[in-house]
Amino acid sequence: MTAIEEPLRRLSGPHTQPKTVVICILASVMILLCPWGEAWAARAAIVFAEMEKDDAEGEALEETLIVYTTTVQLSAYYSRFYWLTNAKATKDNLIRTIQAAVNTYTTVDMYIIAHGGMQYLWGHFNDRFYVDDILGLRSLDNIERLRFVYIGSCHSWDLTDEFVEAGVTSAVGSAIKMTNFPFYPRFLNNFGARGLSLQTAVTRSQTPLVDDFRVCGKKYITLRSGK
Amino acid sequence: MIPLSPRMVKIMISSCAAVGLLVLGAAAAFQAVDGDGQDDTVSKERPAQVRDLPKTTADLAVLPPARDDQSRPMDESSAVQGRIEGLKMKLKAENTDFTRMRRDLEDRLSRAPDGKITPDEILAVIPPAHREEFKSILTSMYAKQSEPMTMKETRP
Repeated sequence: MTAIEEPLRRLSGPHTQPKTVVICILASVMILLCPWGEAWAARAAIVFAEMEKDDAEGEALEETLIVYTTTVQLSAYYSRFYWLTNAKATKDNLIRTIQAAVNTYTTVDMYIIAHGGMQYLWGHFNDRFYVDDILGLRSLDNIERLRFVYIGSCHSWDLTDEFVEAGVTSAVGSAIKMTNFPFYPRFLNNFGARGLSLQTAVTRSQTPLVDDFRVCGKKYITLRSGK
Repeated sequence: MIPLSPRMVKIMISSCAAVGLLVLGAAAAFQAVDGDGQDDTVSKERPAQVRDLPKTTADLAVLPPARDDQSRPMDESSAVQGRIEGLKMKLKAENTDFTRMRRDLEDRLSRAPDGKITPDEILAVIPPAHREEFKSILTSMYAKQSEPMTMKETRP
């Protein structure tokens, strides 16, 4: 009996006893908070919206619609939005913003609404973002935190596998010439507020015989799931 | 400091460990349900988790109805484009300064803390007489959504 009580007495000495209790409580609190903290707090969205590459004024309404619907549908799900619109929507700004976002947040999603072709996206000042630039994103630190990319530009399906090769989990693009209305607002609603999986959200948001959006990479991520 | 008996210390450590294990188990079960990739049924039964409730409640006017409609005309997309063009024509007819609208929007976005801007702040860049129509265009886009199309779901 004495042999068993001795170590316990040592453990419960006047100095070690409160420390042990505090450590246990802290460990429990960390176990409690960590999963949710990572799931909800550390998530950001980059929105690259440039619909008037030649600085024409007529697309200001469409850009306002894009910003409005993105805010209404997604603001509850991200703790930070990086907005790159009009003159800020350039290649250099996009790369810089991706680096800043993945350095700060553990999960980053990106929504690109711009003109484009089979091998490039079009930013402001006629600034093109080519497939090689997308592949070059691999060299960014923490690029694996970039989880999902929506590319709302014509023939953007051709850019999705480059994003996946660069480390993105899933990318959505159009296999044909396209328009973001009504697909984009519907997709945000299905993927965001309704919480549907990526493939289901894409499928349900399409206008038959008009849209041809496809998913590259993992098809069943949800907005709420982790990387 | 209140001195604790060795037995009390043992009980406290055991309790902490038990709570930790329970929480881990609950978290694992939660993530298994949330991350299985088949969230159609889960989402319909559970309301979406929203952190900014007051603002979101105010925005309910632009959220779509929960029920999908099976039928949808092919020219729905061009109808939406037509409504956008119609509003644009009205704004042009009133000599709306689109450059100013665009810059105003950019300013508001850059001022928003953490990029979190409210829908009302965005709506403020649209001339007051056309704000309802602006919202109504988006609402019309949500009105009907297609059912899953098996062929497209199986595409690469």
